[in-house]
Amino acid sequence: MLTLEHINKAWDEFQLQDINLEVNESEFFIVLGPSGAGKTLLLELIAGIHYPENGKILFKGKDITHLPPEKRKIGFVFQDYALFPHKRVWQNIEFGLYSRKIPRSEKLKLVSEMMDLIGIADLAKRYPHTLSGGEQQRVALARALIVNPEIFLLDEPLSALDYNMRLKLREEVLKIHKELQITTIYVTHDRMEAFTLADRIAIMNKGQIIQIGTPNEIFRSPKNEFVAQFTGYDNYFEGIARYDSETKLDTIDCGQFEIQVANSREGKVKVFIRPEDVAISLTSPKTSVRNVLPGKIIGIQDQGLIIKLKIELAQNQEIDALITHQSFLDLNINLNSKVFIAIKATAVHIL
Amino acid sequence: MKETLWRIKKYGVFTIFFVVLSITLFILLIIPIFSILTQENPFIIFDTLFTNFVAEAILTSFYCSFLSTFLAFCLGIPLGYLLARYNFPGKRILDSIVDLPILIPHSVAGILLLAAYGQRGFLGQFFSNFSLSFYDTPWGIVIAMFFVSAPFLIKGARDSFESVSPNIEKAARTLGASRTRTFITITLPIASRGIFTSCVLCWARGISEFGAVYVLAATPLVGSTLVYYEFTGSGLSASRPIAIALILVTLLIFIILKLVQGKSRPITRVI
Repeated sequence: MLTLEHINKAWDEFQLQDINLEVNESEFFIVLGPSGAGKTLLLELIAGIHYPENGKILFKGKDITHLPPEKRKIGFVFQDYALFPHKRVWQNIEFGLYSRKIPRSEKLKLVSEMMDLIGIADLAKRYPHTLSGGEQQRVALARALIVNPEIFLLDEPLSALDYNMRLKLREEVLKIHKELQITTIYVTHDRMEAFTLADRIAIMNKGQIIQIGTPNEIFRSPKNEFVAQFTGYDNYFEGIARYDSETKLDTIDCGQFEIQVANSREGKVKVFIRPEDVAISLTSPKTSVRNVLPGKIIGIQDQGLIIKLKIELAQNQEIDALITHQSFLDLNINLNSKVFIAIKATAVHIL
Repeated sequence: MKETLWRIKKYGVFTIFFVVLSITLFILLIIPIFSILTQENPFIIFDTLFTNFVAEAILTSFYCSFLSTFLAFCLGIPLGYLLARYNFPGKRILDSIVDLPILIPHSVAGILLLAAYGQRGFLGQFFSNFSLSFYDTPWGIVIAMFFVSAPFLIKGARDSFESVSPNIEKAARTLGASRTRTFITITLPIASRGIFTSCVLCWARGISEFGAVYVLAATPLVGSTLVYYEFTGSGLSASRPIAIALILVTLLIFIILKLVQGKSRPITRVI
């Protein structure tokens, strides 16, 4: 129902190239990409803050490409909250009702209902600069939602908040979406946020949309090297694939070791493996796991709850593995310990 | 001695060095003002203040500068906003032109203005169609003050607008406000504190102007030209009470304005 066709736009240092996008009604759509990808510019084009050089934006079949923002029925939430500093919380929220032809008492009722929904009723008379980041972003959510937007646009709304507040507000955004069923487009560079929130994800880089799909499609079958690396396939090898029709598996020759993959490609391939999918054991595991390789620990990085291990498989061939702190203690390993790694054939992604 | 050493330790040589230099600067600024105040009998100052021609000149200073500030406000706010929000070819050149009246000697500014607004000047001839003349009229004073003080307002307005996050304006637009409504109800109020300060500065600069006013419109007399006439005609002792009166009244109004501003709600930027 929101359609972007062949959108091009150069602005400041950003350049959007041939953007094609379709967002369905009530969908939670996430645009995921590194900083500088042009995500914000894309969102501002949808909002009407900028107009594209060419291409079309259609909403419910109507061309809104050159409609000014105040006529688009959108709600916009910014990373820096962008509250009006000279207005109290309730006045901030009331601002969007200005042009509504309803009595003032009705407006105030809507404002207090919205504050109840977001849980900020007790902040009504405060000024924005007296609020914490999390409170400010709640006010911003309420302010955007009061106009009953048909499209809800959020530009990295949680990235300025601390970790706990981020998780809390993430839940809340999801709850709001479930409750109000607004078509939502949410920009972020945080892949975990994208995975937990999205119905569908568009991966963006350097002003282009690289891949669109459900979280599982994006995170399990990335389309190219960029998407693979951006979604956490940190281990990368190159090799030559041979298909074995009996086992229905590919065997990839990476030079000094081989990896089996559930695939049927032949020839030169790139191999991607998530560090979370690499299991560690001290003895060769007696399981059905296809890929069991010996290695030596050459790096241990304690990340608090999890531990990142660097394992040397062969000369200049390393693989990263993530294990919990508890299993690290159970394994009782150190630098130079000899270990076995196990990777399922289905966990290996090749391009 | 021990006390001094302890202080040096506490604040560090660097800070103390800077404090000493700052005090020196302050003394250089304050001594002329104090010395002229102590050289005069307060009753004479009081009498001078209520002498007709002195009060009239000071009043002329105030209202002419007020009109020039008003003119600078109406024309300078839009320019300040454009400079803050848009990038366009020639912006740097425009910026330098805005600075120009601050850079050139004010006698030179007066001569420029006379050439343009005088009876044979281009603008002078144009406005004479509306029987508006600038040479030796209050309008000349207003124009002279405007020319030298407008840059303060323009630059002040530009800086104030720059401190308003563009996202705040975007938020207002997405909430259904037109550009005009966004400017009037959001941008201007947020920038108002800074703009008020630059208006006061612009107004004060107009009152303090002598060179440009003297060349374009030596009459009617304003405070600064009156002091000069008295000094050249009757010497230091005649001009001194008028000078003091001018200082005191200006200072008083300045302090009142600062107090008014101080009472308005502080607006902290939201980051």
